Amino acid sequence: MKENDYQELVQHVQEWTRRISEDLDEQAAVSARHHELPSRFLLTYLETVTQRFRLESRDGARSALDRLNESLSGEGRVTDLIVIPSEVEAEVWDEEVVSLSRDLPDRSKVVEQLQDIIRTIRRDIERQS
Amino acid sequence: MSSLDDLKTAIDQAFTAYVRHSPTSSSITGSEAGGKVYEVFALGKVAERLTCREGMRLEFVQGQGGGALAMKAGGGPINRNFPHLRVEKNGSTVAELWTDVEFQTLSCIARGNTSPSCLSHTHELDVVMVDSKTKGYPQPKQIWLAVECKNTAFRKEQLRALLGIRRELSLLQEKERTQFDNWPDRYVPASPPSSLIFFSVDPRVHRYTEGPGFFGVHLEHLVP
Repeated sequence: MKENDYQELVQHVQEWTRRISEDLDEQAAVSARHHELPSRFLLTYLETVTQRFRLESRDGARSALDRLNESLSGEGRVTDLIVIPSEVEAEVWDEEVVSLSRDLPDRSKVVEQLQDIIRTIRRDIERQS
Repeated sequence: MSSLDDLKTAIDQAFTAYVRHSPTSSSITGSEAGGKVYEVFALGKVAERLTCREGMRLEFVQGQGGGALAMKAGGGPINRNFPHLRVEKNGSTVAELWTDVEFQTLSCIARGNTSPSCLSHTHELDVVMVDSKTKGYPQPKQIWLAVECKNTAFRKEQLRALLGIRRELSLLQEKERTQFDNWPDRYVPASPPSSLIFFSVDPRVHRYTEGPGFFGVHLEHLVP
C-alpha cells in the first residue's frame, strides 16, 4: 500500500474513535503525533486504541489481577476487582458494588482483531522499508 | 498483502464489535473502568518493585468482600473493612498499601485541625503506602509512598495537580532519608520524606520530568 492509502485509513480509524470517545481519540492521536508518515501514525494510533480497549475489557482486569498476584506472598490471592461507587457509604458493602472483573464486556475478540490488523500493517511497512 | 478495502473492512468489523459489546453495568463507564484497571496494573508494578528491589514481602489482607480488591470511585479514609496489602520486611510488618485513600494535608495540620473539617483538608491518592495500623485519613508523616495513575492523554494540569499534592505532603528540604533502601528513593528533598510517583500511559510524560524531579517527584510512562 502507498502512504496516501494509509492517510485514508488514518482518517477512517479516527472517524471510528471519534464516534466512540473523544478522549480516546485524543489519547491515541497524542501517542501517534510524532510519527510523520501516515503508515507509522496509523500503527501507533491503532496500538494505543487497542491498549485502551484491552484495559476496558474483562481480559484486561484479569491480567492486571494476575500480575498483582504474582508479587504476593502468603495464601491470600485477589480473586475479583470491584469498584465502589462514590455515592455508596464507605461502610456499606452491598449489591451496588460493581465487579469489574466480572461485569466488564468480553472484548478479547475485538482486541485480537485489532492486533491482527496491526500485524498486517507492520508487515507491509517492513516490506516497503 | 491486504488491499486498502480489505483493511477498511477489517477495521469496520473490529470497531463494530467493540460498539456492540458495551459494558453490562451502567454504574461505571468504559473509560472509568479502564482507569481503575490501570490503577491495578500500577499497583502490580509497585508490588513487583517493592518485592524485587526492596526485598519486601507483600500479603493480601481480605476485606468484607472476601478475595475482592476494592477500588473506590470517591476516595475516603482508610477503612479496615476494606482489603489492602500488608508489607513485611525482615519478618516484621512495617507498612500497608491501600487504594483510593484520601490523606490529611499539611495545611490542615498546620492550621491546628485535629481532623479534616474543610473539603481542602484532604486529597485522594490512587495508591498509598503508609505506616502499619494507620487509621482514618493518613497524615503526611505516616506516608511512605504516594502514587497517582492516569490512563488518559497527558495534560499539563495533571502536572500542576501533582505539584499541589507534593506541596500538601511535604515541605521542600535538604535531602531526607526515606523508609526505602533502593526503590523508589533512598533520599528525597522533602520533609516528611515521602516518595511520589506519577504513572501515565502517555509517553509525553518524559518531556516533563525536570521540574517535578527537583521536588523528588517521579513521572513514569507505564504501559500494561
